[in-house]
Amino acid sequence: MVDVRLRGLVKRFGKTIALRGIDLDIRDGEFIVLLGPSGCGKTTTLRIIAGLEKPDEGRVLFGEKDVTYLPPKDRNVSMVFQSYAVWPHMKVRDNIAFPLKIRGVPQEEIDKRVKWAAELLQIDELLDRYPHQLSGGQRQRVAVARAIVIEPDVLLMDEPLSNLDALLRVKMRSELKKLQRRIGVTTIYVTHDQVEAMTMGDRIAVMNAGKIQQVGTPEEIYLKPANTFVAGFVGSPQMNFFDATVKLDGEKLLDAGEFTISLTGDLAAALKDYNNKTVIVGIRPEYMYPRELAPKNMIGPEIKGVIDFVEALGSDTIIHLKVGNKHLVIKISGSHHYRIGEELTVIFGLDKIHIFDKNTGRAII
Amino acid sequence: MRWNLVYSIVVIVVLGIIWIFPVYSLILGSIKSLSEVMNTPIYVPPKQVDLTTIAEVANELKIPLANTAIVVIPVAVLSTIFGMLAAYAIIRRQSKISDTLMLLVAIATYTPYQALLVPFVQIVRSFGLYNTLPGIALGFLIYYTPMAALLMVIFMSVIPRDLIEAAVVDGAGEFSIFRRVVLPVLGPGIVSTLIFILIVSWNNFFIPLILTRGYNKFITLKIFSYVGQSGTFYNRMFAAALVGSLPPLIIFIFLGRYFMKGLMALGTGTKA
Repeated sequence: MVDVRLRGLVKRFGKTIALRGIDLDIRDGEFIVLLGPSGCGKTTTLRIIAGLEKPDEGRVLFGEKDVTYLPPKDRNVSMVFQSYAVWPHMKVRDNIAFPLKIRGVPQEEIDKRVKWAAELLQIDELLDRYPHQLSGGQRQRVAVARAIVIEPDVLLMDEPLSNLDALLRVKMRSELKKLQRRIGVTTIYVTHDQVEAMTMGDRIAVMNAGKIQQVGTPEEIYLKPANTFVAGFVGSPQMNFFDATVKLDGEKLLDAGEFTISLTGDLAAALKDYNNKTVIVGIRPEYMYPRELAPKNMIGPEIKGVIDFVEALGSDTIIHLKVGNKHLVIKISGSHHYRIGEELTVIFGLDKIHIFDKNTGRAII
Repeated sequence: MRWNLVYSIVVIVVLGIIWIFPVYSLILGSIKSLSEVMNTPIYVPPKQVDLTTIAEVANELKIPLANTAIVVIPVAVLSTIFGMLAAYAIIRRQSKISDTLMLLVAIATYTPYQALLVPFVQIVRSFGLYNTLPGIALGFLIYYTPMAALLMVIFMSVIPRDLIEAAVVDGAGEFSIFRRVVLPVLGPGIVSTLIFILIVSWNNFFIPLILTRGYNKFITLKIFSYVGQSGTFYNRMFAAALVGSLPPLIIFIFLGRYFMKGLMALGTGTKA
């Protein structure tokens, strides 16, 4: 096991810049998730750590060792690919044994280690089958078994669950996490699925446009997003954003047109440099309530709108509201009946709002 | 739905008839007497089946057939091996050099061999192989290895990149990746290339013509020899063409499955 440090990684593919300076410290034994939309550079980062790509600038350190230009075989890493990359002509046993054979491990030891990995992944009954005789989930387990059998210093996973059906994905999520805890290997996991990231990662590095936007625990990422990108990307449905003008002369308030927020204490202090400037106010849909369902004693701004669309998910109800020419989404727990076209007044607490700088997108509070 | 099926069957039958007609007339021509060949339309079956011509001609073709086999089998095997190695290098080293090499391979494949007549003869002569079987083999190798490389690049490019990279991350060297990962999943592609080179070189007329004297060193030359100055023995020529085309036909009948499998692998992007 080893800690991994990325220092100023830059990678270009022709004229496209895939990475624009990635700095990241990954602790020994940590499960870190690189989360971001397609093309954000997360897979490129993973491939650079694996040694499959070389960065144009920057360094990759495993512990104190600079591995930037070392080939994969000298890094003791293993990788689980999105397509599983299980070799179709080899039996499960040979697939798992392959990295050990390449390393010249004695046959007796190979048998022992293959058995250990197969039992851990519960595929010991499948060792003499070929991949085409396995289901997608079983192939995925073979890929993971092959990755852990060498007891790598760093385990890399590139969207390993995205080809599985929804139910299996949920099951494998917890299994992979438990497995990682059990063997304690430093794990770097790439996904675009925020639920995977939130449930599996000790920490999450949110990426966009070749840069890391924020690194933090799932709670930090969710509760204290560093900028509008993170705030919008993490959370489902997406956070609601409103442009609002800060008014500090006379009555101190934040005027969003549809609602106003009185600025007192900390809020006023945080916005003191923004007088008469526009900021972005963000509120998550799950912290907005129809007035009749709001927690007792809740005091906060109210917004009136007309129901545009309702998604009844059973456990939750998602209401899309038209407020003037804006669109607002609220998410309430449980099943509720609302009709399209009905007027609805929504209330939210000031302790749950986020305010971002309009120009930089950075969080002010 | 049913009408669609009928239309498809009609189209397949019509195309089948068009394609089978030359073979049909070849067989008829071989089993007719010379006078019947000359005096009846090509599609009319003989009044009496006469197999003596085929038997006689087959006897005369023994040596050219053996010579041809001696030349084309090693050519097919070697050009497939060389092509495969070249393709692996091109696929694995994605760089400007490999792009240029790929371009050269394509140029070499699509240059008509008539344009290469003089250099072909000079090279083979310089090795002292003019008018020898190894000389013909060398000519074929020069011409068909780029074609094999091109085919192999196409077959290799559909192997999922992850399969190779998984081996790279697991620590395998290039030779190990080639032998343990690429080669086994390339099976249908290898067989397709082998069969293709075998058939096109077996049917080649021009390269043996310019690299040898006489007619006995290659089957296509021998078939041509039945066109005589003092009149053509059409029934013998038909019989020679029939006997001469049997080996590639038999190969295709037995290995055609693998050939199709290789081609289908190209469509699906996976091992067939």
